Amino acid sequence: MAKAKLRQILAADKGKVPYLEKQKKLQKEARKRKRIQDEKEGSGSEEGDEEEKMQVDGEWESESDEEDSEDDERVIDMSKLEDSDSESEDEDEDEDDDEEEDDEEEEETKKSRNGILKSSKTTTTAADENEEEEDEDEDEEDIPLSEISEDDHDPEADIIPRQKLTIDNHSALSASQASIALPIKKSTPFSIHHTIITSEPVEIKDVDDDLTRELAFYTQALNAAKQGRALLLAEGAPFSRPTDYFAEMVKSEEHMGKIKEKIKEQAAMKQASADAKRQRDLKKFGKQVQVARLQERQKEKREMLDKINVLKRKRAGADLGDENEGDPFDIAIEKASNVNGREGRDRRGPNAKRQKKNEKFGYGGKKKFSKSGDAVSSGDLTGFNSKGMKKNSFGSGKKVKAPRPGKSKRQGRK
Amino acid sequence: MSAVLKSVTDARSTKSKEESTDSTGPDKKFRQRVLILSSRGVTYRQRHLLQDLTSLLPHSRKDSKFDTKSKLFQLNELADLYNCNNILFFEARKREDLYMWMSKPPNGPTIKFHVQNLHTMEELHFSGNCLKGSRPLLSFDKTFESKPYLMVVKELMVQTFGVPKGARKSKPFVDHVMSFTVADGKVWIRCYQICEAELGKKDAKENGAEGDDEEDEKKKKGKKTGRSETEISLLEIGPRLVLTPIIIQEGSFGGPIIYENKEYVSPNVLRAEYRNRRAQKFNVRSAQKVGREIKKKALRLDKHRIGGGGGKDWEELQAGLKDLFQDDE
Repeated sequence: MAKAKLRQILAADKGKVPYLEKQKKLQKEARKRKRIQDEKEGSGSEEGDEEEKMQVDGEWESESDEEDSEDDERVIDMSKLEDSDSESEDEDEDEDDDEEEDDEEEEETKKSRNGILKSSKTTTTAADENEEEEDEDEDEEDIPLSEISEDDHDPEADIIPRQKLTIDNHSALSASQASIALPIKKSTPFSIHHTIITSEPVEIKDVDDDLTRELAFYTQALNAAKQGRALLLAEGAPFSRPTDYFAEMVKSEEHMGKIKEKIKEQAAMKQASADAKRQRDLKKFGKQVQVARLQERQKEKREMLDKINVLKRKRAGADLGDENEGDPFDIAIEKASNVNGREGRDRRGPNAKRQKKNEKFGYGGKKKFSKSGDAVSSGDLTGFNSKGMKKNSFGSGKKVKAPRPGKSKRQGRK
Repeated sequence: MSAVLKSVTDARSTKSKEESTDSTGPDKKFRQRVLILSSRGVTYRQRHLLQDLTSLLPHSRKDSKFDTKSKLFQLNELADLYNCNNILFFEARKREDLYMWMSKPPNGPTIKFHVQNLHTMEELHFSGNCLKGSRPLLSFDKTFESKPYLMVVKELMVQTFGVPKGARKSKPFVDHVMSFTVADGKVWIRCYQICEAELGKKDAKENGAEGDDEEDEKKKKGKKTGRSETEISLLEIGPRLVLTPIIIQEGSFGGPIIYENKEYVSPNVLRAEYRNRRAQKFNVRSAQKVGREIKKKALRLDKHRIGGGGGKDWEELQAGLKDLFQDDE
């Protein structure tokens, strides 16, 4: 490598053109090949064998050999440099040629110094080195396959699963489309093909949103219907069905009846729910009304009492005068006083609490069989609710299935 | 002489016929006939969809369930037998997945769709209704013309769902629209009834009347004026379905695949993933269980239950503990 660098530096010094150098290299190689061939022919079988041996063993001995050769070459190079320097002064223009000659000289000197064997080695090594340089450059660019497969490829294979190849053969598709296409031209009347294409592609922002999606479809169809109707009427083709034209429909009468029922049912459900809502609201309102009525009653009562008091006072005043005057208020006052008095309350019976208690624990009347059922009570279905049958003990939703007992319990049962 | 006369008249008549066909050349009838059938193992909803489609397509020929799911090319022969140039084949798998094959035998392309969001007319309580055999207006989304594979899809749909003019059992009036929209890489199909609410009573009379040329002209005028007066609204009829294109083959149930939808994920894969995700829970738990066992064993807790067993193990444990503490000291 040192040698190669040295050469590069030399070349830079001498202002070599890389393109020309390449050419030179090629020429050199060709010459070398020729020489080797000549040598082979000249040296005979024994030397050739040796050469081959050396080449075979080259891999093992290459390091030591290279060192030797480099040492040799360095010496030569120095001499060459000296030569070239001396020469360059004389012949600047013919430097390239000189170089080649120098190389040749080098090798010749080597040959003469180390004998045929060594020289052959050096030539091979030199040639190899040149080649190796190029090879290395190439190697840097493409990484060996084995390395890739071991290090890089496998983890990737884990990440990315097998991907489908997209097949979208445009030419074949358009060809097959053309082969089956109906010969529809602009001149063909609309009534023959009945196809309408929207002027702009229908765009639906969110396909999962039912309402907007269906609306888009609806508007597309509606526009098509309007357009188609206009076109058909313009052509004079029949469009709408006359009212007296009866024929079999896609949906049978029975089916339509079902649909009608369904619609009615839905309407009824809606009505019922609306009614229930109104009732609920009324109930809320009713409470307010009740409270208001109670208050009103209380007010009336108070007014009445006030009146009575006033009358009493009047009466007290009248006592001084005429006691037995035929007063029209007499009876009324008596009654009113009676209502206010204790006796009146007693007449009404026991108070509410007592009444309830009597009902619960019994007060008066026959107690026997009072709680047992009879024909009337068993016929009474007011407390029955079919929905209640389906409810669980919590009173909501479906029946809760008893959870499956554990394994040990199940096996213990057997 | 009569023979000569006959031959002459025949020639004349054939000539006139030819002329008439020539004159109608560009407006030539498109002959379409659709063979509709399903594979074995369809559920009732899928069967009802088939029923709905046959009722909507008067130019269809319904056939009995097809036996095989692997040799679909036999359908070509069947179509030839019934003189059909379109095939609509529903392939049901696992009693839940439905695939729809749309093909142009004998050598047209074939498209395989995956049918999702299937709702038949019966279960959708839509109040729309239309004449059996009336020709639908076909409304296509512009997106159909953006890609070559969608062009093929559109062409096939036009031919299978479009009722040709003058088809057998077809009615002359137009009272429903079929809309095809591409959204989310899928084709959405809807069917609507066209309701004309006429504001002027005059139009109704004129529409109903049929007769002389003058009246026809009047009718046209009436309709023209009526167009502004009539209001069009739609009522959905059903069925509803969403189709995901999977592949397009060049031949009819055969040939090279010229399009494959990369975004399509098989329902089997989805189900497997779902199941795996659920299994993951169990796997984690069982792994934890094993880990716990190992830990217990490492602590020798399972062998020496303190208080229980006793005997040799207990002594061993104590000895071990003693050793342990001695080591610590």
